[in-house]
Amino acid sequence: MNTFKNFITLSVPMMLMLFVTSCVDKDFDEPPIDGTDPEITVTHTIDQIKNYYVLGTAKALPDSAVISGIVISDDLQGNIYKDMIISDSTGGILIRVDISPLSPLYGKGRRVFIKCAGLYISDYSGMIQIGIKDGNAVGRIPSVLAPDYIVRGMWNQPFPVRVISSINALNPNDRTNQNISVRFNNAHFTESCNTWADVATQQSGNRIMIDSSGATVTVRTSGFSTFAASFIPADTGTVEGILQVFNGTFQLILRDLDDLKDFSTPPCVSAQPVHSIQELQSIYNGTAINIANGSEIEGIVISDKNASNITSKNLVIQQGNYGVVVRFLTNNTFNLGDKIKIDISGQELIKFHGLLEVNNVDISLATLTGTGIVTPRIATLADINANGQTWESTLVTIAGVTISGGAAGTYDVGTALTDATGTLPIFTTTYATFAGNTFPVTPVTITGYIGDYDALQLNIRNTSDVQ
Amino acid sequence: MKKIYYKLFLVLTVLLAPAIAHAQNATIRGIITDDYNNPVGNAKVMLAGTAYETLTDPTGVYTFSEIPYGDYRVEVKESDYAAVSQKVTANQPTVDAGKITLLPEGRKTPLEEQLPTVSLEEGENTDPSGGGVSSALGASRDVFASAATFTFSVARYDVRGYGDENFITYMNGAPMINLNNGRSVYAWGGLNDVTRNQISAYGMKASNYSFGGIGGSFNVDSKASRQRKQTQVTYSNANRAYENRLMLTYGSGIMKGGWSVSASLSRRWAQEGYIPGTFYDGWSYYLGVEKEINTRHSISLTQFGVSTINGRSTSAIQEANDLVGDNYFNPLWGYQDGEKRNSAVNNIFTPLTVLEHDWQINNKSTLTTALSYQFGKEKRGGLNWYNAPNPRGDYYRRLPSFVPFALTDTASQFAVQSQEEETIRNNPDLLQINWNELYESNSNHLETNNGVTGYRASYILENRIEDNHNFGFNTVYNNSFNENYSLSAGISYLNQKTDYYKVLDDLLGADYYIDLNQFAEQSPVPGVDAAQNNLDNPDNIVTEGDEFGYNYTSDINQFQLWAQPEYKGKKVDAFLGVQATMTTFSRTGNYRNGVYSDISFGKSEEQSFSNPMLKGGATYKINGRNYIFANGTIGTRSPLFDDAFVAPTVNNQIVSELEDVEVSSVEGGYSYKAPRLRAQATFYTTAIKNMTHIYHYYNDDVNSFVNLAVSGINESHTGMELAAEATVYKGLNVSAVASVGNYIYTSRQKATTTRDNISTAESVNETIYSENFKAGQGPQAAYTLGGYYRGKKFWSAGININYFDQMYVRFNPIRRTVAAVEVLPDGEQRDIMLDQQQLDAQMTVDINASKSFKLPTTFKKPYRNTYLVINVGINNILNNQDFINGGSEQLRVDFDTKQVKKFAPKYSYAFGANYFISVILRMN
Repeated sequence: MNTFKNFITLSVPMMLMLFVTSCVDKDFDEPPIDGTDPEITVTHTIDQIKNYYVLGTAKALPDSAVISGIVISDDLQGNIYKDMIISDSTGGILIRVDISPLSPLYGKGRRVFIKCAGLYISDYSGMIQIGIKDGNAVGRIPSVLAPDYIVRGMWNQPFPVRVISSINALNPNDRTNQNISVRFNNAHFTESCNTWADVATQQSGNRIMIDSSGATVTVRTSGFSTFAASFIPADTGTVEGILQVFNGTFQLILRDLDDLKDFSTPPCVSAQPVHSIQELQSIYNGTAINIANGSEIEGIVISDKNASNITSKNLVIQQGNYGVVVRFLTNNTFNLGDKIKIDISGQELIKFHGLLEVNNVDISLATLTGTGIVTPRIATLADINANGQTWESTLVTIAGVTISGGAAGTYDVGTALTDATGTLPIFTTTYATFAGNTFPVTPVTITGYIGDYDALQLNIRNTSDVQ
Repeated sequence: MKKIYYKLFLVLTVLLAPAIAHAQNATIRGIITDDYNNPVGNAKVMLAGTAYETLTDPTGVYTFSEIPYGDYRVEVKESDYAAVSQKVTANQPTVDAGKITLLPEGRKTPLEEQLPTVSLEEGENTDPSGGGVSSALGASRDVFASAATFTFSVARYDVRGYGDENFITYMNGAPMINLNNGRSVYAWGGLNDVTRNQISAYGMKASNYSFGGIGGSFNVDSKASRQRKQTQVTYSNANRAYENRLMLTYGSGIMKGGWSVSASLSRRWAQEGYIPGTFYDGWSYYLGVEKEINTRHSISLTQFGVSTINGRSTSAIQEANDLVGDNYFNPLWGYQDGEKRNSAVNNIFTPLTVLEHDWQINNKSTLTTALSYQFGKEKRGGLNWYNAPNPRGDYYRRLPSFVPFALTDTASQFAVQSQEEETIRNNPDLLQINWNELYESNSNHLETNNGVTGYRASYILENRIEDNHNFGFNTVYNNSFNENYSLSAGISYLNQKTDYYKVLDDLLGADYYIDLNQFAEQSPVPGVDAAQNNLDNPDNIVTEGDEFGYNYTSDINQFQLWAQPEYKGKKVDAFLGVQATMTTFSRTGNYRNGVYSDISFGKSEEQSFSNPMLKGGATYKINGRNYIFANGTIGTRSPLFDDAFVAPTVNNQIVSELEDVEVSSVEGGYSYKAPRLRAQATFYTTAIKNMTHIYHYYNDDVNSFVNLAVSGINESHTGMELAAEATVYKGLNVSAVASVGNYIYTSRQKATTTRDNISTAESVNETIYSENFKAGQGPQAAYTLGGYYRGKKFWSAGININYFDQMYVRFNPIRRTVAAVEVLPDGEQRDIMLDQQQLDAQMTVDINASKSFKLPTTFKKPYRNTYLVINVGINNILNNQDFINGGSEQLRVDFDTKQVKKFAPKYSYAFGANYFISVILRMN
């Protein structure tokens, strides 16, 4: 049986070799990056393809038509969604594609070719666009069908940028003026330290840009864009973007914040979290500022919404020797003497006609923690006039003052205080419950909190403030 | 060649087996098993013609000490079995008498001589997380257990519908459990030759090595002394998860000086498995050394490791299968360089070392102690992307079914749908991964970030890593006081630390990736730092090999005590077991996550649980053939780490009201054992209460990963198991097995949903109207009819006809909430949302055949015999390719349109006809 023995002695090492050498191939070469343009003949310019557009219908494009353009859109920051905007020397057009984001493959500066066979042209609020037929409109080209219509070419292609000195010089109804890349030099915005859109509700924001001629352009930003919560700069610079139209008006779309050039970032957020009203006063530097995360204030309510000499959206709280106005988004239910704690993280700190105010606070951020009493500061009118900026929104008591003015001897509008040291207006709204009451003509001791409406004033809460 | 072998053996022997001085008396040891390889405990063993007499221990081992040198005959007498005897020569201090197999009265040839038949084993399971622990129970060779684990595995049958945590596995006495998820750890794939010695206890039967789970327990004995003295080479060819398998195994048997050595090496591989785009490359090694120090002590050291690299497959929706024209459509691969590249590659290597000490305290008692250490990484690869489209070709928005949700005009919808269908049918690769586009996306975005300029990756391949460090100590004491009473008791301590983190594996042509949580970037409440995965390393520039994403550690301790007295009488056997378990666990976050900056870093609150468990059972022996038995368990167990943390990748938050899981179960039945007929009927009912489960999934409505923590899950598992096996003619056996159960949820569960991109919970304690929905997956009814013929000249052939019914798609809790159906009037749409889909019943047929040849002796030394064994098995020979063996509802629900079809269930299919051929060359 030597044969068998030989078979064994041969086959075992052979199997061993098989064992070791048979490899499971799982290493892959990296494919070459396609950096060349395909050999496709372009038959129409972008402006020529717009000739097929008919208002109110989705019009089929000719089977033989091919257009080409450079992508000028960039959706990586989420301000453009499933829109690919391409332009050539004759203008730009929007291609609707159901891919998000488009930029990794169809990024800004890439040449693309659109094979129009099977595609349709229509408009949305005056903006001409290409896509698949969806009734009388065009829908997004589905992701699996995209390779049949869109052919990718070379990257890093230059594209025309129109420099616009006055938007008024452009006709929004001229189709060559839409979906083009534009630049405004020496432009500025009207709402510095506002955000580009409302992130909380994810609503789009329309902000006003003033171009170098003083004409206004709407800058529209999606609430989903990553820079929606960024602050609008305060100074002047260069603004780029994509010019679109919506029902006959121009809209400027920023691709990302790199479209803003030569602007400085405004200091819109406090450097440190704030834990007292005193700190609140110190972080205000003359322009609206957002309060840093982790901030919280606590104080005692010194205003009285029940007497209605203050809107129910507002209240005044005092902590120690400092006070501030808090303006809520909705009416509040806190009473005079309530001790409350408010999470003011990310809230806006503004001066409203000279009075410091935490603005637009959601009511849910305030919680009742107890009650308390604030002892008013005893002062003369001269003291108040001298220290009003630091004393604002705190309680004061002035003895021996005379009230004068008003409508027929009532508190309603236009009363003032006089003592030996000076004078100070009293603020009373027509809606105050005591507005129609007559005030004492003899000297009184009066208590109230210091307000400011472009000038210092005393706000009384109700008639028991006048003794 | 012969000389090389000899030298190898010599070297091994010299290194590992220094001879020990001769003595005048010998110790004779051996093992008694039945023809299913189960040890026979308490069997009376005698040296014929002498006064020497002993009983086997519960593992079937007997020992005669201080036997004068000479020739003897070992005789075994055990009721129900034919008497057997075997010659043994005492001519050295330790004599291994080997194994004696007891045959039921009336049967002649040991089953083992039939030589191995085809086992379905690990090749069948393509999903590494799939394969149930219960498959181990097949080792018992009990007709029912064997069917439940091998024959039914094609349908992903779970024994009694139980999850894996209800079965306990041991390797050489060391508990093999992953404490994170309660699952058994199988670290011996490819080492089939050395892990054949297994003992198991099905259901709640008493075992002497463990208190056991309610589903059963099982111990693999891979100690060197238990390996046959042989050298074996096996080559197998299959068309399953792997195509080739080569195994080399050597066993020295017990050598002079009490040493035993065994070793095994195997490789399993496939360029492409049964499912397209899958590949397999597995290496396994094993080395066992055992030294019998004296008659009372022996020590064994076992070391083995399995390295597996394989490309995964995943389930898909039927629409995609139909478009591609293949129910085995696997979306995880795509062509690169003209070859299929899989995007989801597993790479697992967790070697295990077990040191076991066996101490024969006296003739009646033993103490078995095992120390184990297992470490290593389980890497699960996958694509990740930043600010780029989902790379899955079968992403739902790419399929024709999405068109009605994208377009408003009905006529246009039809037109575009059929255009998409035609396009995909003409080019099915559209539903695969387009690697070229991924590389293209990665190679054109030059950016400067954090001081680094280069191409920033849109797509990467990442490895999600579990780096385990498991230490185990387990000691078991057995005492057979007398013929009637015995005691088993044990103490164990387990510690497991697992580091969970991600490593960037392949930049796909880009230069770097930035570690950001893109979902938090777009979240509605902006925070300056929310997008940082690690606030302490912001905007981290990641390149290949770098850690990123998340990083946390689980630390689990489990201390366990148990004791189990047992009584064996003439008419009644009974046992009672008690177990106390103390478990503590915690999570330690190593990254400070931007969304959860306050609760992500550092150690979580430590969770601590004390859980008692009581077990008992009795068998009434009506006579030698008829038995009635009943067993029961009641108690609690601690919740699992994986079910305790709501979102472990990002924070330390614990599921609210994390409670002990309450378990109660009874089983009872009747069995009949006669030489030509064995039958058993078992009824069981089990309640498992207060379970929690965490689902993680991506929800693009909220643009984030979502964690769905479901608590208050109660389940009921009730059913019957029937098995009968008869010898109908010489060599011809037939068997019939049926399992019919009803596994349902019995409570209204509570769900809390949180997101990885915003710290406020989406919903808290939402009620799930889950009562009476079917729990688990796999058939709740399974049947097989088998025939098996053993010929006279060492051949055999078998056939099984299998039928599976009562299969249900895995339940998505969110579809059974008020939010999912509110405003839907009674009617079809509401019913579709609420109903749980029942899958079609299925039939398969499996055949197998085996033939072995005794060959002329090849090498006279050291082996006397050479065998060649050929096994062939064909499963699902009728090529049923419509067999859905895994279905699950997608977790996403479209609350706007309330249409299920937008997120249709995903199915996986059982393999069509598949074969396995094995050629074994064995020298012993």
